[in-house]
Amino acid sequence: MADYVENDSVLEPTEVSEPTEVSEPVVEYDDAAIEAEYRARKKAQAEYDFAQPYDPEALLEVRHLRKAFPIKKSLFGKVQQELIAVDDVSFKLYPGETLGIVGESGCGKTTMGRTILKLHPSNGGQIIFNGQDITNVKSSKMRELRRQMQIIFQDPYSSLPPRSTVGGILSEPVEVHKIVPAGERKDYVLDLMDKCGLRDYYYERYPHEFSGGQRQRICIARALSVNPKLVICDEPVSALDVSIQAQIINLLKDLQRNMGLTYLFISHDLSVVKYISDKIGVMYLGAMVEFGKKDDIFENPLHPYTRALFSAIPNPNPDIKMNRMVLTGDIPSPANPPKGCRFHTRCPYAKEICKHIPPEYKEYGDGHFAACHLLEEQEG
Amino acid sequence: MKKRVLLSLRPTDKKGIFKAYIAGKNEKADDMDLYEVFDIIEDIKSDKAQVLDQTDIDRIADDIIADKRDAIDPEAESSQMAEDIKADKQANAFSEAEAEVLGAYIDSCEKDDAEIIEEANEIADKMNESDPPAVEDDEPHDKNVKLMSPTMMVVRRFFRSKLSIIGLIMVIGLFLFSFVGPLFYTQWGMSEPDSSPVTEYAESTFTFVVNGQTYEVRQSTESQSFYNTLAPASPSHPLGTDIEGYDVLARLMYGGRVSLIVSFLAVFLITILGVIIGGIAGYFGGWVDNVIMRLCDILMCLPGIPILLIVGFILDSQGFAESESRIYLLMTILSLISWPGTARLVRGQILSLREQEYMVAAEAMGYSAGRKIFKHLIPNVMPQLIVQMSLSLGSMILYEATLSYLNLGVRPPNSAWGTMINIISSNTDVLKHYPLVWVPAGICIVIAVLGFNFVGDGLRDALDPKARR
Amino acid sequence: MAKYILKRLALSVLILLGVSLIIYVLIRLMPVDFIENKINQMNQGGATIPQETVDALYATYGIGDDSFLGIIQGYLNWLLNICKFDFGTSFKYGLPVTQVIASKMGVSFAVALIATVFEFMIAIPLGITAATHQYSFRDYLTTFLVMVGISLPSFFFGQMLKNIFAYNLGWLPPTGMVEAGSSSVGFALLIEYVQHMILPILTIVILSIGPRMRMTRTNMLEVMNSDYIRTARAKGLKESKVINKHAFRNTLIPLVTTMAGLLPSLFSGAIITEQVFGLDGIGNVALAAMNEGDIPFIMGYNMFLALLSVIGVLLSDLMYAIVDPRVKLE
Repeated sequence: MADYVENDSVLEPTEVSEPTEVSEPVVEYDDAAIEAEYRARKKAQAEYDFAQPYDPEALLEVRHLRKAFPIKKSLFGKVQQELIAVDDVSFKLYPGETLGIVGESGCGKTTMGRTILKLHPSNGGQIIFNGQDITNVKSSKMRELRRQMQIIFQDPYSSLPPRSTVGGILSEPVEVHKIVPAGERKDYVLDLMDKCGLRDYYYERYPHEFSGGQRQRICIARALSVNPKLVICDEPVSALDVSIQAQIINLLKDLQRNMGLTYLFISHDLSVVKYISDKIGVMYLGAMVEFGKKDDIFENPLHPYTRALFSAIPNPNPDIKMNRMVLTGDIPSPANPPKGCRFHTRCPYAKEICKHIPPEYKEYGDGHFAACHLLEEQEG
Repeated sequence: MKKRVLLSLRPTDKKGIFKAYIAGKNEKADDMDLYEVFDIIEDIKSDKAQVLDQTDIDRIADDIIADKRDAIDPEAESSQMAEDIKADKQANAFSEAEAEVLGAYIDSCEKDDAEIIEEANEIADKMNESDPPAVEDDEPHDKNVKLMSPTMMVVRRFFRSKLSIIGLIMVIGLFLFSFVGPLFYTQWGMSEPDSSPVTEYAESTFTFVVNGQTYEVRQSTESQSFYNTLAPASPSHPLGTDIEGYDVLARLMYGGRVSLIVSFLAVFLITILGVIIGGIAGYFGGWVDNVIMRLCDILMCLPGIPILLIVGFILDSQGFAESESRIYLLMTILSLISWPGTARLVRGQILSLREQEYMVAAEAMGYSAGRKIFKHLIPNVMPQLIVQMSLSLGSMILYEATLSYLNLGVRPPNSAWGTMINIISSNTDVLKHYPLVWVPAGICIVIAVLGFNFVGDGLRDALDPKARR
Repeated sequence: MAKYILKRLALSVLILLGVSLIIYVLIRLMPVDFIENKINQMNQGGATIPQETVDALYATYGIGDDSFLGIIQGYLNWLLNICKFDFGTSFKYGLPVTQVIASKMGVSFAVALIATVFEFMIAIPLGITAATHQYSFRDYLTTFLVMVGISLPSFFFGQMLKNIFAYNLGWLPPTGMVEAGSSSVGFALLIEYVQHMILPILTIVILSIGPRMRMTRTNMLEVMNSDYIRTARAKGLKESKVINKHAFRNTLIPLVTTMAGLLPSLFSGAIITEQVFGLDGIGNVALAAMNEGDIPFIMGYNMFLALLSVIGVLLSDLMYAIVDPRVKLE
């Protein structure tokens, strides 16, 4: 892993000026009113955004995506309590880019990836793929579109059907989407296997005969067999040995270059994300708290959560002192997120306002977004 | 193709791991586990590898056979595999001449690793000189190891269990008996009474008094019966005859045909109905699932035999009283009541399989519902389904027997195993004194049910060896 | 919890509706002249079925009226009667079906109860020891008994026992409840009952122990191999305590649920066994009546059995809810 951890200094928390207790005005917060106002504002914002024309250059545009799971239903099926796994996420992804999504377990990144692919039905927002709004598209049309948007799952063991041969698994999508005529199918698959580092005699073998790394290669080959434009990599190396991880990551990078792919790379491993991404999005409890170009984020992390995450990246250089920013408190339950800024319960810089009013997700630099009251204060 | 030369095989300190010295490999000895050892032996058999050191394989095979569990992986199905290994080894004993030709009979226990590897490489080079240049392949071990499909692994595991084999023999035996038997045993038909007259004697005693003297007279009256009923076992009637003069053995064979066919038919119907209805319920969920499950609840509360009694009446009234097709219709109705069990099984399987990640992957690949159901879900439901089917065969046979015993199913002169027992419910004479008339049928039923159950259990273990019995 | 019970009750009602519909449809599928035939046969056989009974039957259930309205009307009448617990009047006995069932219930219930008690008393301890002593003689005994239990038809086994013990050895009486023409009373009568019930109960018990043992053994094995038992052992608990306190209790759960579900079946009567041994229980009576074509009895008995089934499912669901705390939280 040493090749792709840069010998940078680990980031110091930037100085934030805190007003003294005396000069802070005592403000009464009416939570109900705040919430109502917040909702109305969000709704108006969303409506405005939905009406905007699609970005012609973006391959994937996600606007105010929302996914909620019902926890409690009344006797008649009306939802009484829900868990909001993806809360108002918006971003754009351009062709050839790799967007790395990071966050703790349970922050909603996997759900977001699957919702974008319509593997979960969304509960709000727009998903615009290749200039087309696919949010409400019919399932038969969606099946055709799936050829262009693929996914590689985290667990290579359960994502391959145990009773099919490798050849069968890889030929099936080719057959269903009619990529090449039937006669050329086997050669096409063998060529694909070669590109992914699989030997030709693996064609008749069954998934259970392979190691984790090889299985993941099979999954990659399967995803690429249909020549997609977008590939969502959902923690593809988390289940693999460290030594294999590097191989797979490099394979993904090579394939991206050769086939002109766009990646949405989900991971909780920051060093991997740093190596492979062009842009980075940081998620916490279902919301995007920071987003921007990789260099911007690493050199100048804005959100306190981002700063805490990055301070935890181990640096193999013993001479550089680690400046760990340790977060206090437990991660709150996603079913019951904190009021106001969702991060305030663990934020070392939390102020009174953070406990009541959710911060705005704003742009603070060229394509660098974040949502934090402290930044707003600094600005204005 | 480069031959692999196996120079030596030794157990290591680690359980179930052996060290193998193979010519052609450069660095160090390979670690192999029991399965790979077995595969080496298979390669030896198919001439893809040669072994030069006999002693170690002997010792290892002995260890395995003697069940020294320290030497082997406890997860492996050891003893049967050990037998296989030993058998293979004996079959492929190397001739001394061949060993001489290669010029290296090594006592591996005394040489150390480096020396053996050196010799191995020498031999490998020598062999390469005589072989044509092989295709570039830097993972020969990986390529030459023979691997089996999941189905073959199941078959292999099935035949490892003695009980399964016994069950299979029982079932096949009964089938041959019933279907092929009559082709050879042509003396008697199913309802062909033996009309060779039999002379019977009836004795009666009476006394009378004449002139003060009491006389006792014993009279013996001769009578001829029309049919040779209730005859004892004899060469022309190996199991004797029954109360109508029919040959018992013939009826047993023909009866077997009906009993077996009807049971298979019923199970077949139940399975088809169960798979389709359970599949729909499991796949679509929602209100469809709800409605189907309620239907299952209702059908499962119907009492089996009493309902069939009613159906029997209906059949009688429609003119099926003496018909041969009676039992088939009855069992069809039985199937229509019994499918909920299978449907629930299929539904449960589908519900759990649906959430497997490869099903999500199938959705992500854009496969249609039909493809997902038939190419991905159903093949994974098959194992449990097959087990259930073979176990139900047993209960179907019992059902048929019960129906025929109650005179609902197959009625005389037609024959089924249950019918042959029906006689004793009304005739205690036969029960007491003529066991050959009814006991063989019962034995056949027992053999059939046990056989199907053994096969079913064997399949269950073969398909999921980790499940606890 | 209350919601759960209500839901199950509502479901039971639905099931009974469905069953009653099926039974009604089946009866209506019989042509009227067939029914007439059977009635005549019964009359010739000595029964005297008053015409009013027959007419009442036809009228209530709409038999003979094949119009759509007639069928619906008939079904509704049938349903209404069921709700009033009026299952019709038997042709053969001239009494309400419910009364006939009740009068013959004693024998069936006694046999079933005693057999079930023995079955559980023998099977459960044996099943548990078979699990704790795997591969021992007890284990193989279990397997043998299971084989016996699942493969022998009950009528075959019963007749065999009758043959061996009653006819050949003469130890026990073959059929009936009492000796023919017996006039014993009190204790002597009891002895006669006992003597006559030994064989039928033995038949049932032997055939049912095997599967019950196997079920207990499987449950026990599953529990014994689970992690929390392993933890208990690792903590150093005495093996007897591990088994008796922890493993046994968790094995009981499915067992208790099963037992609750079995309760109603004690009343249904074992048709086959009673027929083989000539017991005057509800099963034998039902068989005879059904063979003769006593239509009201058929309808009533079938409905009765279905009712027992439904109650059984309800009881076992309830027991399950009591025993498994997770259900309470639903």
